[in-house]
Amino acid sequence: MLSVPPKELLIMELLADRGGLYGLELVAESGGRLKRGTVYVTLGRMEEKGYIDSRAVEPPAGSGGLPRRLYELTALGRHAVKAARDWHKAAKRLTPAVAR
Amino acid sequence: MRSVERLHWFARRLCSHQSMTRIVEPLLADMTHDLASTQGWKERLITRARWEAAFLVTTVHCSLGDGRQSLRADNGAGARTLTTALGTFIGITLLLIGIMLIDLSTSRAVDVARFSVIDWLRAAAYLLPQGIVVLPLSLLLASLWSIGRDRQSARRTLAVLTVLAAGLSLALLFVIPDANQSYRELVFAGSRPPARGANELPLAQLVYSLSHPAWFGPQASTSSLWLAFHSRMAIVCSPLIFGALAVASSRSFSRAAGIAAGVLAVGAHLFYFTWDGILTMTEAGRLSPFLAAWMPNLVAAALLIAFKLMPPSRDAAAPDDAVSRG
Repeated sequence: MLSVPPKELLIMELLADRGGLYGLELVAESGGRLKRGTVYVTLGRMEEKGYIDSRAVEPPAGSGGLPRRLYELTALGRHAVKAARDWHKAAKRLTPAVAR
Repeated sequence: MRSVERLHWFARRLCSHQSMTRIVEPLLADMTHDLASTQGWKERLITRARWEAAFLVTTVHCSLGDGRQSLRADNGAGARTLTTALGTFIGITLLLIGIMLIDLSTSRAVDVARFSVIDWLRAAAYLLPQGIVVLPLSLLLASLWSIGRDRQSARRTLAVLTVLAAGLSLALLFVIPDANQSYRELVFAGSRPPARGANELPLAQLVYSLSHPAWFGPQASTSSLWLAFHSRMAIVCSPLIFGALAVASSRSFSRAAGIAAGVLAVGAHLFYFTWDGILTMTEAGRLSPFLAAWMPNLVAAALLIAFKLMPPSRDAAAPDDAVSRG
């Protein structure tokens, strides 16, 4: 069974819903659940696992600075998100039955 | 902009190339973008502080992660050196404790039943550092066990040895003389506390008494003072000399031969430093205090030169050796 840590799943869900995002945008979109100090390490780890991919986006001409990194889901990442959502749906359906 | 360049420069010295491109640079790029779009000096100050905190957390995490990864890639050479050295040190200390709990003059066990908690602490303060005499050799043993054949492993192991040598220097020069005296006072409790011998003098007093022998009194000869002085200096230098010897000899020894040589060297060193003949010969003027104290280091230095001149054996220098050692 595929086991994904909650923060990684949150990042994958945000990327699945909104398409490509920068690290800073992920922090803003998460509503405080992701922090600047940890999100880049989590993103680096997810890239190693193959859940996400990234590409450098050059800053607008004249503004200078380092190229920003845009993160996108890979096929494996999309599969992981789908599997997690299916599992949650199944668990929700099962919970009332167990409660009865 | 300049501050981001400074942070980038700082992180590049701590983190691997992969950590820089995957983690640190994306953070700095977002930081630059966020700061550029922030309005008002107060908000800008807060944003900068938050990003710099995030930068520090991330950089420290990456540098620790990179360190762990490189140790793993190296089959943990540094960690293995440290563990083996400390293991050997503790083993030999326990052996010495066993020996010292017997009063050699009466061949009976020291009466430990009368010891209070403070007495036990003083006894521990004396007994525990005694293994330090053989620590240099245990480092040799550890290195022969740990060192891979590549230059990076050797550098990492030597770095661990240097840190251990620094701790050894502090203990030997400043802690052990007082601990020795403390134990003497403990053992001779009830009678007048014994005067400090050469091995019980702190470094400053030892140096002073060498230039003013009359100050020290008749309880030790000038030879034993010089022997105590040179022994301390020689033992402080030993880990680095023996570490360098281990690096050089690991190119010529197979692993099994290296371990055997290390065990023999530890035994020989233990015997040498606990052998009364050294002190007797030095006091009789038949052996110079310098030579008596530096003998193990001089032997190690001679072996080091020999190993440096010797071509590496094909078996020992096999590139996959680091893997087979795991």
